[in-house]
Amino acid sequence: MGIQFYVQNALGGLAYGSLLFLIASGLTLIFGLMRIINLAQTAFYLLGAYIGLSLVGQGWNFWLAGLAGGVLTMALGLAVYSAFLHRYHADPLTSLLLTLGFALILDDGILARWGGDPHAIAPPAMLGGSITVGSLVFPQYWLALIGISFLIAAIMFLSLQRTMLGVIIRASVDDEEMARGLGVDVNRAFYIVFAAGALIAGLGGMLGGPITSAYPGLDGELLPLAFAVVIVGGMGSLTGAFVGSLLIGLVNAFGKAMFPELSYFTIFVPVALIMAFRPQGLFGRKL
Amino acid sequence: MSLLDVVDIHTYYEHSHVLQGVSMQAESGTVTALLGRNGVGKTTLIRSVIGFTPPRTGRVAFAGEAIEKLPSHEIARRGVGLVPQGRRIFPSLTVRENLAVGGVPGRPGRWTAETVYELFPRLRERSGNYGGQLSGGEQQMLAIGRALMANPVLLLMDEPSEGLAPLIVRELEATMSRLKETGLAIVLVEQNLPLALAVADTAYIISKGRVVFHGDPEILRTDHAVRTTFLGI
Ligand SMILES: Nc1ncnc2c1ncn2[C@@H]1O[C@H](COP(=O)(O)OP(=O)(O)O)[C@@H](O)[C@H]1O
Ligand SMILES: [Mg+2]
Repeated sequence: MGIQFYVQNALGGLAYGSLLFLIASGLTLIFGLMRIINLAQTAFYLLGAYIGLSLVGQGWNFWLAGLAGGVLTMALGLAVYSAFLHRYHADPLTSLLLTLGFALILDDGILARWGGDPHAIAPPAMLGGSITVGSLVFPQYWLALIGISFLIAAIMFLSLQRTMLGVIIRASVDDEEMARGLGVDVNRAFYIVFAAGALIAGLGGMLGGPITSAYPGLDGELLPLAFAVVIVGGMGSLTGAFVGSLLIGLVNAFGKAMFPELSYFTIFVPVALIMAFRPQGLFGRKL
Repeated sequence: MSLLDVVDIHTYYEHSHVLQGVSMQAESGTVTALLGRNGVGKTTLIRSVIGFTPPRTGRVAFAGEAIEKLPSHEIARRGVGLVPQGRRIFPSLTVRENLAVGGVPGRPGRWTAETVYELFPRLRERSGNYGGQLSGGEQQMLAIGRALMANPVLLLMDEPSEGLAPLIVRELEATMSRLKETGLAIVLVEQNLPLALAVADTAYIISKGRVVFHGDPEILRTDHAVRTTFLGI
């Protein structure tokens, strides 16, 4: 195992971690703000991927198709949120069951519409090649995905830290009742955060598609990884989701390369360590 | 007509019947003290007015309009400010950001971040620090400043002197007197009887969810029977 092995897996891990961030960032913010454990978050990812690949099939450009997938997923997420979920934000068990039910319906809908065969998603043509550095060869698209996810993360951080909406969201995560008592319409922030979470996950489906492809059951495979990220990073923390995603992405890549027979298990080593020694997660508030 | 008119409210936590028919009033430019031992329902009365725990029956009128069915943020936007028990500063917001949240109702008036910093110069020095890094006294100043940012006409203050050093309590007393002079109505829940007596124009004593005394706070200074029976001092 030379340096090539490490660099290759590190890049692959970072790319995979980048797509995990697009799922887990919404998951952690939605939980932190509304106490909703959104089990449909990876179904949003899958839906975004399928919508995107259908649009590409009709001749759309990769990026526009991804954006449209994100926006349509967001619209669906908002519809579900305003029809059912918004009443149960303080009731984690009911909202958990609702999102589970919604994920199952979405899965069946996807199966009915797109069938059971896996669909590969090609990266945009200009990024379809690979980069060769000495004996090292890796897809160009890996770097592009890492770059885009870092950019989305930066936009999210700035919105949370530098805008009044971000201040209101952080205040509501700290003490929702107090925020209301000061005149904040917290429900409005709920809608915005749920919508943003669905948008980024739906967009993520297309952006991550060249790596994960799209097939029924992908959402179920991604969900434990996304939760591992949230637990390791700390619930409600965007920084935690970022660091946790990259960490889980790396552990996943090296785990699969070094202990292929234990691949799924290796993810839960960091989870177990965190649960034992720092139950609030790396960046979470004290429990 | 009083600025705040609470009429015969009954407030519950699930099945526990905490306020059992409380009525009280507060007027502009005065301090109304709410006294009573621990656990008698003072905080619950404040929570009933701001809408955190709305009364199950009874009326709360503010500036002549019924507010008991409004959500908390609507009540706050009409001009009810809250300095809650335990201060409840947002720990992951800076001092400046805590004040900005207080300004969300967007009510124009004398209070801006600048005038709050003039009232509490210490907050200006700490403006970039996070709420979780402040001392108790600084947190109390911030809780008051945050509430003032909405330019309220009624300020609900729940045990503002709790956990503060005597010197800071003195400053708090001076601050309340100044706020009163601006025409603000203050409802003050206090365990610190000397502080309450120093600033209050009128006082209520609550016992087991009912008002058992209403009148001139001077009486409490002299009437040992009332004090020992209802305040335990
Ligand atoms: N969130 C709550 N749930 C249930 N009971 C509560 C809650 N808050 C207060 N109580 C009860 O209501 C009563 C009045 O409490 P409170 O209004 O906080 O009293 P005070 O502010 O006068 O000390 C107490 O018996 C207290 O135990
Ligand atoms: Mg109290």
